[in-house]
Amino acid sequence: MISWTFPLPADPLMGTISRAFRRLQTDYSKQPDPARGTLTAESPQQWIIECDGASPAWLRGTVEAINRAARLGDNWDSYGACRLQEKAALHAIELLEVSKFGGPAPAVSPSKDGGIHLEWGRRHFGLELEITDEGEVSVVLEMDDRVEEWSTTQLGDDRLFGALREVSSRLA
Amino acid sequence: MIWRRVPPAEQLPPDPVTGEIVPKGSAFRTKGTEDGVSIGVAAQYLAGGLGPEAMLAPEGCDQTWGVLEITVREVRAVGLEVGLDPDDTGHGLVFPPPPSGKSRRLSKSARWALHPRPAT
Repeated sequence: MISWTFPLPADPLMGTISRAFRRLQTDYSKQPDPARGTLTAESPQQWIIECDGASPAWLRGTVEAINRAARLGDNWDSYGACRLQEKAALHAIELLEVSKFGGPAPAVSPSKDGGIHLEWGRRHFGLELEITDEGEVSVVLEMDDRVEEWSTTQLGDDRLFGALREVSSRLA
Repeated sequence: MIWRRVPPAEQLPPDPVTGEIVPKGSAFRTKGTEDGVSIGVAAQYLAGGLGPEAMLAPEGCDQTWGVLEITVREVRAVGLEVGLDPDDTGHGLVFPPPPSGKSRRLSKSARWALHPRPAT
């Protein structure tokens, strides 16, 4: 069951995000949740993000993955993790937009505290971003057998933008 | 040897060539309120005739979940410790809570004790 909400709720975040994205209200509470991996999980998700069909495939894939992650309820990891917060998801999209990222789509999951976790790569090369609902970004970059980590904001920094360019260069 | 459950959301998609499923770097990460990473003590399970699947069933997790295993030596090699729960000998903690880089090292160096079935 999906119902549109117009006009969009007042949210300072939305003004800085591409108009390609709109929020929808939905109720998944009665539906099974294949992403959870069990048949009994509740899915309290009340929002999804819509992506314009003309957007690049990697971006559509990212938004679809965010919406799947958003259907996971509290305790999605069985160790008490929190469900994904909408603001964290919006900050992630904002960061990818600000950095002019060109793909590929990351693997997406909630982080343990309700932020969002994005990951590219596999063993020996990878970039991980954890973004909180307040827009703080924790970065882990593994490259050439070295693992570096630092923090920044959803507006990113040159080091993070360089890492994202490396992802595009190696994986796109 | 210690074990840690890994939900489908913390697994990267299967490699298109090999089919290998790799855990995300966050598999050994904690909430900010936790004192450490909750783990199962493999020796205690095995002594009771139980395998890694016993980590999943009580939690209602299906076969799309996996169980990672890693040695205490590997945990100590990244500057962390393993403590046993005095009230539950099958349970323990990796502490202190690992920062993101150490969590990634643990996640990527761990092996599957129970390989997850790809989610459909």
